[in-house]
Amino acid sequence: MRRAGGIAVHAALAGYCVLALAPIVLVILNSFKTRRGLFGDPLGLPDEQTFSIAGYLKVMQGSDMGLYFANSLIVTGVSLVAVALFGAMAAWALSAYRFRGRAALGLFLAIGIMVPIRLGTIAIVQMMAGLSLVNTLGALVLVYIAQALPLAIFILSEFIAQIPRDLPDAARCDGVGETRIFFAVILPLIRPALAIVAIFVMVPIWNDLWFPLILAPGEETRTLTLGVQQFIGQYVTDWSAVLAALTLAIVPVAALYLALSRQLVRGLTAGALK
Amino acid sequence: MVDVRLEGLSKRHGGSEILRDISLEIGDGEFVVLVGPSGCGKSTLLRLIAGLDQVSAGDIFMAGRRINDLPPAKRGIAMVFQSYALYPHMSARRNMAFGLRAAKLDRAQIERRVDEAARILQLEDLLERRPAALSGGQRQRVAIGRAIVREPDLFLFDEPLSNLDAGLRVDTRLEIARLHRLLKATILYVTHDQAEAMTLADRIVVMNDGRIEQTGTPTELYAGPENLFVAGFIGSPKMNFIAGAQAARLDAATLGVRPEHLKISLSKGSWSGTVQMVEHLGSDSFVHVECPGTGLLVARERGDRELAAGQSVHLAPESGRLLRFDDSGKRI
Repeated sequence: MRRAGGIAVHAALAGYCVLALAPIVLVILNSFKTRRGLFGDPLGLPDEQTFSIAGYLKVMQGSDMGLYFANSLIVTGVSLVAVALFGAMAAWALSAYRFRGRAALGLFLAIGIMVPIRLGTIAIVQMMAGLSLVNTLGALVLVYIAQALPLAIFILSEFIAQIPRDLPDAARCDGVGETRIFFAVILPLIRPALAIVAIFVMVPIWNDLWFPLILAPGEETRTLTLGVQQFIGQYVTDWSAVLAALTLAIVPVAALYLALSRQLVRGLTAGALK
Repeated sequence: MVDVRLEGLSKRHGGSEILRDISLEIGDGEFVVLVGPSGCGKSTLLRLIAGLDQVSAGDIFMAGRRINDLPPAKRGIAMVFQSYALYPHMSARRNMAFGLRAAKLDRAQIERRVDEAARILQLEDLLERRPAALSGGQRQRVAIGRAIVREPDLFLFDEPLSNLDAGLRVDTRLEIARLHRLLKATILYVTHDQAEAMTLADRIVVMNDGRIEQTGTPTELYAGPENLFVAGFIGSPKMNFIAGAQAARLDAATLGVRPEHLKISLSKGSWSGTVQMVEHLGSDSFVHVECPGTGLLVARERGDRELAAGQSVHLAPESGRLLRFDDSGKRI
């Protein structure tokens, strides 16, 4: 009985795994095919006749992929660090200190999780134009911080709530200042949670097309997802190049995930503070 | 080391009064134990003295200086927490040095103090381990070490033994007593275990429901409890209480007599009853006797006395050992 249940669970998980991975595998497989191979047998493995790295060559040589990559890395990296730092600070303040308006502030931040930031696009564009930030990476960073902060605070608050109150109290008796308590005691203890936040925050930012298109479409500030669009034409789309660019775009996300996965598993299994 | 004085200390939280009008003096080098049932406010009192919570009314003085508004670090106290509260991501050495580094002491002095504390607590070989790699007793010693290196005027211990198993608890209790003599430290120690209080304290403060019930040396409290609560709380097994007509005959609402002051006789006594159960501890036996009309009385007997359940016996208090309490619970 238990065994059958175990098989069923594994079958369901394996099925989901296939479903989730298939598109990625297809993108990667087809990025190594010629145009003919791609349309002739989209599900097949590349063979001698259809194998080609033309798409990659085109991406590397025929465009400013390096710049787009750098832009994406800067925007994502800066946003990530800011979200983790400010998110942790806010979560710590909300759970450790009693002050007037605490509940209201918590609620205000929670609303940010429920309301999609894109609803405010027009206001954001006006604001960025007013600040002369259009076509800068700074505009994207600011928007992404605002977009990710509520969820980050929500996740981190849960973790910080698990930190025994005695720990900061002991540090206070030790004469350690509040800032130092945060950086030297709290932050190291919520590392697994920070890994979770990093992954949850990074993927949507890295993949976002909307805000780069609206706020920073200039040649100099294009991000990867926006850069890929140049291969998608109204009449002709260079699928090899698009798929090659997308494959390259997966690499940093996958790398980050692998780097953080140990922390992530520890974080998800929680109780990690004991 | 300095003396500590509490004057009319109160703490309210929400609508409820956790501490009421607490006044207490702790002499230089004295070992004072706060004891009481859980929820009586003893840990709150400790947190007020540490400066982790703010007092609602009253004053705290150390060496004559009012310290109500000083942050914990400036009060010259060190606290040992029930949960040890060691920083999980730091080695034992860094745990002890953390506060000193924050105080910007020079490296050599930090090193010297940590090594000295490690030597006193026999932690030398464990200094590089993290708390997760230490046993409960070792963690406790690191937590005490972290307090010692601060060279405080006053040590605050919040139920430091309650997470240890029984054997270790006795060892650590001796250890703390040894430290007190060695460091000549002033210590305020909170526990709910009256045996701990009796063995460690120079003076015991019995608390109940946010108030001090009685203050005194262990022997004073044991022999002369001022009220029913202290009489019942101090001593194990508990004092026997007899209420009703028998107490009224002696002009009291309740009579109290400790188990070792009840004599068992097979022929005559004040109360007669049937042995319910005998607890053998080797040196002593606790004999539970059900006396009709009086209730269950416990008597302490020599371990080699042969008594069996079901046996009919008589009990009598030793002369002068019967305590009388009035209907408000006060000793008469």
